[in-house]
Amino acid sequence: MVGKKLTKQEELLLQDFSRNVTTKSSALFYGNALIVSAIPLWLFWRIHQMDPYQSALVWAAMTIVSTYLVAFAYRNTKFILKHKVAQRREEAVNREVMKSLGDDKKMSRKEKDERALWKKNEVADYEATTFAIFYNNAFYLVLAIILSFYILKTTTPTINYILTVGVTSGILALFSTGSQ
Amino acid sequence: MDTTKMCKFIIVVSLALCTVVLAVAGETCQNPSVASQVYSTHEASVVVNTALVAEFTLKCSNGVKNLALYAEINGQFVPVTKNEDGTHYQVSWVGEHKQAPRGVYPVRVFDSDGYQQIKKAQRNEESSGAIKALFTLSIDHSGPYRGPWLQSEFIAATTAIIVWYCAYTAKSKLQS
Repeated sequence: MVGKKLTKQEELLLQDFSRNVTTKSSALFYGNALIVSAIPLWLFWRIHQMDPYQSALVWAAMTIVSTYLVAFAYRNTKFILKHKVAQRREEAVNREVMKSLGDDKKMSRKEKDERALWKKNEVADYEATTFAIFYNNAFYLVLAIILSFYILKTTTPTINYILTVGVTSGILALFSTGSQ
Repeated sequence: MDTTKMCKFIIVVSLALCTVVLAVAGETCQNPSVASQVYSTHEASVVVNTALVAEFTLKCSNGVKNLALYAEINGQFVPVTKNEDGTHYQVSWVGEHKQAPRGVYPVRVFDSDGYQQIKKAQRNEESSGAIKALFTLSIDHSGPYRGPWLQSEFIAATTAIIVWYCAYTAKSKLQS
């Protein structure tokens, strides 16, 4: 088996069941995570009246931590959703691919199936990525608002910021590790 | 001689009477002309009490100045303060917000005589409403602003929860 080249189908299956994401997806995740983690900075600067110069180090540290944890949550959520999305979209994707390749006599049945599988994987990957980002962003914002304005209302702005961002991104990462 | 003395006596008495009349007339403002500015508290989210303030200048046709005035404002009788030359007057009332709801507040201004009549009516436990005021001002109080009906963080939290709930429902459907 060592050195044996994988077929396209095997490659797709490995990719399907792997938690690894492509470079493009990774960039998308970290970019979005950075933006979402930076949103509370504006909140704490303008509403909780934190001084940017004095708080720069704390802000930078917590933003980095939050970015990592939120991207981690994106990856896990995407992995969980991808299979479910693939199952739901399988029939429609197959129908569309067969319709577009149906008249092509040069392509074998096996090649058509591989093409359909690849397309299904691509659609599921894209939909799962966008939905994972959407869901985790909504969850992050809800937790950040409730923590900073209601639960941690009486604390100092610095403690409020550290706990809000830390707990929010921590909960996101924790919940994303669930099996469902 | 008697006639001369009689004439002198009559003149002196007349002069004395005239002096008295003039002196009495000098204490009362005839045909008052009032120019006023009013102020009332517009904000209740930070300010604890409501203030009603009326500033006015008074010109009397008989040239009387520096009068001692008293005002009835929101059911209370208070002295009216004045500046050094007695041309500008100010009357104010301060109380809790609930004691001064939205509305028009008449400020009845009395001179010394009017105030004496009011005191007499109060001693006799009679109504002072029938006593004629020197003039009346109006303070139109639009009511203080108590802040928004809903806090902005409540609206933000509610919106965020609704959006998250839609996302959670969609995720649950996908995973079912």
